[in-house]
Amino acid sequence: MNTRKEELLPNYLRQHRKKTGFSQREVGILLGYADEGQVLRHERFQSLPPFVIAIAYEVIFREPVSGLFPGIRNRTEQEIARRIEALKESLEQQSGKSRQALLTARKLEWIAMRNGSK
Amino acid sequence: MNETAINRRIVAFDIRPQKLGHVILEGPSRLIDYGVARFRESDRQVNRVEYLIATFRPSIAVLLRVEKGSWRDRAALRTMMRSVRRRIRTLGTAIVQFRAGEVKRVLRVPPRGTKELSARLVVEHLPELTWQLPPHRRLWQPEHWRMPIFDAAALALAYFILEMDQNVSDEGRSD
Repeated sequence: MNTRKEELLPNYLRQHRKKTGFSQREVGILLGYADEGQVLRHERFQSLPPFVIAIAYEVIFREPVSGLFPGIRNRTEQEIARRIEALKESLEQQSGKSRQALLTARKLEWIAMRNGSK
Repeated sequence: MNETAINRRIVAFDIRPQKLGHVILEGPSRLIDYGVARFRESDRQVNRVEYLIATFRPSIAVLLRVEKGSWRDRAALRTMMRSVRRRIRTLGTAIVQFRAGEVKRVLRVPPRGTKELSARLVVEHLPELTWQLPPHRRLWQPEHWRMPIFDAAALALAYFILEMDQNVSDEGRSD
């Protein structure tokens, strides 16, 4: 069957809210908003919650932020991996005789350790 | 079937002339969303289908195939189903359709089993829906307004059960 490529949803806030039986307005009030507007936008993936609100969602639903926002986590992880790779390449091009050689070696060692522990 | 098909995000719709029940599952046990909405105009029903598909981007939409001559077979419903199917295809989502009898067979509901029994079997698979289970219906009472959620859930579960059975038989063949 010809199906669309599966992607993780940016967040699973609606799933967790529905489990509780709370309305969007009630969750909005728990988060400190005056109404349901922001919760609705978060659940429809139209806007990203600020950091404190993301933590508040974690506290309300007792689910880690990365579990509530797996799509965003995945995308961020891929972007970071790409940037680390670019940084590694630029570090590798630096001269081994410069004053910063020890520091560069430490950074490269850390990157290798990080990639190895994935 | 492979691992991806088991974890696939699907939407199942129970389409009635003035009501729309939906369930969105990611794999057979992760319930993402569900609900039922009432409409007076068919356009709004099609718009709701479009909104759900555009937001949750499921790879498959499961619908009930209305058989000719069945009690569901009404001109209004046929027209509605046609426009819904057209809209789903425009959005690039594949459609899978089951007959009512097929859903009962897959969920192991006896042929003369009621929707209430089917709903009880659904909550065994999706316990998050237990609190939404309609109360026992007396003969003189109309169907509970939340029942389309369970009809849609039964469709979605039938899809995954059939996919898993397919998987088991594929593995058996490869031995």
